[in-house]
Amino acid sequence: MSARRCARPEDTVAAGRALAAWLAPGDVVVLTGALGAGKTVFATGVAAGLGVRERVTSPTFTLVRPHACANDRGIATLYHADLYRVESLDEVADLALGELVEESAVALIEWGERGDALWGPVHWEVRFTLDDEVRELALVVPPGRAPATGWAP
Amino acid sequence: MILSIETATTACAAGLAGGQRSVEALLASDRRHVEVLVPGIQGLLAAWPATLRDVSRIVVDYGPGLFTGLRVGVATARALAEATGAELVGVTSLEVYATQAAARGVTGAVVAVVDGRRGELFAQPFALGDEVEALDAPRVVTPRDLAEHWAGGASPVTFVGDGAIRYARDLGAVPAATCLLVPWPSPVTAMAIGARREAAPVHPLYLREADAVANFATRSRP
Repeated sequence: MSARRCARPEDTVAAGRALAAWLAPGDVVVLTGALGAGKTVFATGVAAGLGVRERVTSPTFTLVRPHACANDRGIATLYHADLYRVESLDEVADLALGELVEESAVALIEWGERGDALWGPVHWEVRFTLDDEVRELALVVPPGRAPATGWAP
Repeated sequence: MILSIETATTACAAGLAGGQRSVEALLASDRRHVEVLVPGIQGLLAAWPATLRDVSRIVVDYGPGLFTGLRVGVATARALAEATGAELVGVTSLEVYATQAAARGVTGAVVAVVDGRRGELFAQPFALGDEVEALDAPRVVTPRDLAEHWAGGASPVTFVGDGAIRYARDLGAVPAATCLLVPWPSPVTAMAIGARREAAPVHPLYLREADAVANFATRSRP
């Protein structure tokens, strides 16, 4: 697993766009990393890559926000979730994110490791670490999918 | 009479049993549980003919299975039991599948499998003889791990349930295995099981939760 280095916010947005190009309906993407590591900025890049027109902000208080997408890959909705404020696992289970995405959507879940056992083995993970203002984004590809060639040049 | 509610898979079904008669109906197969369940129950009652006042027992499949379906089925069953005073009885999707296999003459080792989504199965082994006996608790497993586990034994095994349809290739590769393709748990079978069971409070069985709660509790929170 190699990390992609992002020095500026634009780089983090570009990383999100790069991931969006590999996503398919039914995909769950778990974003992990400390506060301020760039997860929401990354989410704006994924949303742009999937053809979301509206502004994407952190859904910290709404838990999950659906965004309509316009793309040619059958992804009609992006569910952007943030589990930072979640108090119990029941709340995460109640969102049923893993089932919501099955037909024609993808889910992008900040602090997603808090629901780890709910996502099953088949999901993407982006691990954010902050190394002196430079963000390092490590990508874990779901089993059975093509390797993410070009993620970390 | 008995009313049965089935929402553990993308299919929504219901059944009625009373006297010597029993019926079941598939209400929708495409996860429209919330939309079709209550009108479907009304339709079954009207066709019998009977009313909710005639229902003395409600049998509901409480999982494991599709979470978005189960919460509709269990909430509806609880609400109807509360409103009518009917007894509420829970059955698991896995025991219904195993009993359906027994009804088709299968004997010996049977593994009931429900599609757990996200690349996993809810699975439970049973021994079918004079009775349907559970050999272990229901678990979350990947199709590959389940197939590997059963590939070791030489005796025949039957996989039954919607999980055996989705993962027929993995499970069918097990030597001496048969896949019995049953697309959803039968409400009539559920009523046969539920007729002999004591009434008790019912909550959806979401197998991943136990693991996940432990995981959640041990995470450090900033």
